[in-house]
Amino acid sequence: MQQKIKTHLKITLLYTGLTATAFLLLSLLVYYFAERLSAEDFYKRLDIRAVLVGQQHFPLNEQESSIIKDLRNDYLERLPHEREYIQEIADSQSSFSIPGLQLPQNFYRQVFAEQQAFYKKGDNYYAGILHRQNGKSFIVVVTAQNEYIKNQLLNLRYILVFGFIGATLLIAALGWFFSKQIFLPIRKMTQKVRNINTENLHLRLNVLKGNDEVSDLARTFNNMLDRLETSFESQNNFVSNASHELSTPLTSIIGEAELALQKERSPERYREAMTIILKEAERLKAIVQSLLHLAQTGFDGKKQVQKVLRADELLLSARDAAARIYPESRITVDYTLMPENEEKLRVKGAEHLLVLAFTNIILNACKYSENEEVVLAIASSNAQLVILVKDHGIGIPEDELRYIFDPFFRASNTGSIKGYGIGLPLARNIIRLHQGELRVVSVQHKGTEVRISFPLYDGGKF
Amino acid sequence: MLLITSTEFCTIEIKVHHSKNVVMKNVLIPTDFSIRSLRLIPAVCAHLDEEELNITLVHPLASDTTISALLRSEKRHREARLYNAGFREACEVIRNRFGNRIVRLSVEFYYGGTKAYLKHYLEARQTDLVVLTKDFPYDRPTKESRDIVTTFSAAGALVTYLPAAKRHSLLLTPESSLADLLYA
Repeated sequence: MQQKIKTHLKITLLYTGLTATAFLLLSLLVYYFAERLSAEDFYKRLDIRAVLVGQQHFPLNEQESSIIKDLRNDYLERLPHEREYIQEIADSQSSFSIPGLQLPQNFYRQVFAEQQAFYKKGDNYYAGILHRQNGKSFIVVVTAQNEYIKNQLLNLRYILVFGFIGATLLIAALGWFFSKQIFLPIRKMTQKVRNINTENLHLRLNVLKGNDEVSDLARTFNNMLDRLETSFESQNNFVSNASHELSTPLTSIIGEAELALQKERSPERYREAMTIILKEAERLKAIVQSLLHLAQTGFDGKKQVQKVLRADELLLSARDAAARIYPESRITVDYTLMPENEEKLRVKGAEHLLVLAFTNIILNACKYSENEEVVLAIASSNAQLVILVKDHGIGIPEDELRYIFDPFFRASNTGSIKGYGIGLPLARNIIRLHQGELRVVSVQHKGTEVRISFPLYDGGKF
Repeated sequence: MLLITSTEFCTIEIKVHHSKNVVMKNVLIPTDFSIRSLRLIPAVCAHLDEEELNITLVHPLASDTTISALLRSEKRHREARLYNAGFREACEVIRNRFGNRIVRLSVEFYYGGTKAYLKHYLEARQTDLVVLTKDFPYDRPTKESRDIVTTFSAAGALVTYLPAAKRHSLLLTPESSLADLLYA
């Protein structure tokens, strides 16, 4: 719980921080431009007044002066702290000043050069113009304070600050809520996965259709569980195969020895018994060696090597392995549908895993049909390789068909036939790992048909 | 009145190639879209040794000759559904089994009803052989399907009955599967 809150808090803080910064920048920008534009507007107003002042004091005729004065009083409001200054300037003057005003030299120089200049100090705005009359030059400066804009800007400041705080709080709250939602599927997944342990490795996560990261994660998890389950079941399978295979010759050896020791027997009889024991012991040795080999190829710790293999060879290896374990079985390979073109027999996969899968299916067919005929067939359609295993055995009851892939499940009609319920789930997982499909059709008392299909090796075209 | 004749609407292998010395035979195999009817293909391959084959699987349907039916194309879609994924897969399997011997494998529908019609149909396709079997009864998968034996035995001398016996009596379910294709 602690860890989860931290990440989700981190995300919320990060998101809020970024948005707040953006908002802050925006506010600053708005405030800056509002101030600049309002200043420009005020300067224009001062400029008009300066021009009029100039005209008023140096009129072309008497009437003009009073007309202008009236215009000014009627139509131009008096700006707060408005004052006007007029100063004559000689052309040769190099430095200027107007008593009562502290204006920088730049200002005066600009007035001379461009006939117009503006300056702002604190709340005071200054506009200056150059007025030439009768050969003389005069500087007219009008100054005022921009009370109106001062209030507006103050309001704007308040609005922006409160808006900023409010928006940030809202974003933080929404961010917190939504980041919780985002983590919800991950929390659910964690919950589900917590329940998976060695007893129920066959559980899988629900994967919703779609390509988003969460479904991807679920799918990857399921793949990993497939691999884990396969390797786990391989080990179980090995142990069960081993115990079964080793017990048969051991039983013979023990039986033979006990029988021979029951009473006094002739030397020939003892020799016969020893011969049988030796034969069985050698058989035991061969079995142990092949089991070891099976274990070594399965668990040598190296990464599964995927090679291009020939499906018919795999099938024959599996057939041979099954025949060794059940020598009385009758396994026939039906080549009637085998493709002529050997390219259509190539698949890509891990050899020992595929052989193991096929062997398990064939063993099931032999075991549950009590060594009646088992037919193996191989065929390929354009994209898939298909292997069929058909037997005449006890079949699987219809309502139990859906459970046959559950590990350790044994159908109700298996009776005295020994088994551990591992072979079929393992085989299916192996086939699944190779992007294939395993389907079972069965009729009780009549037989079972297993159909294994997986993609052909396409020569690496795609 | 001109009837719209059978339309070929799918082909399994598009490329057609001939080898130099061997004459290609055109074979017509009526089918009821059951997988076991495809067992006639291996039978033909065994019967016509060393020949390259252009095989047409054909299904006879009674055609509706009213104008509205002729103008309606949806009927074709209904018929197309007979050619389902399982059948298609079985066709591919057989095609791969015989590799280059089967130059072309296609599926058609036949809408004719008279002997003369059949004669013209076979002549146009230069059919060398029409293959039927007595080893299993042909189904009639739709209402409009005609009886296969009646329709095509009218081809007279071109008809051959070949065996299509199933080798393994491992008949499991009424549903046909690839296993039905295993033959003697």
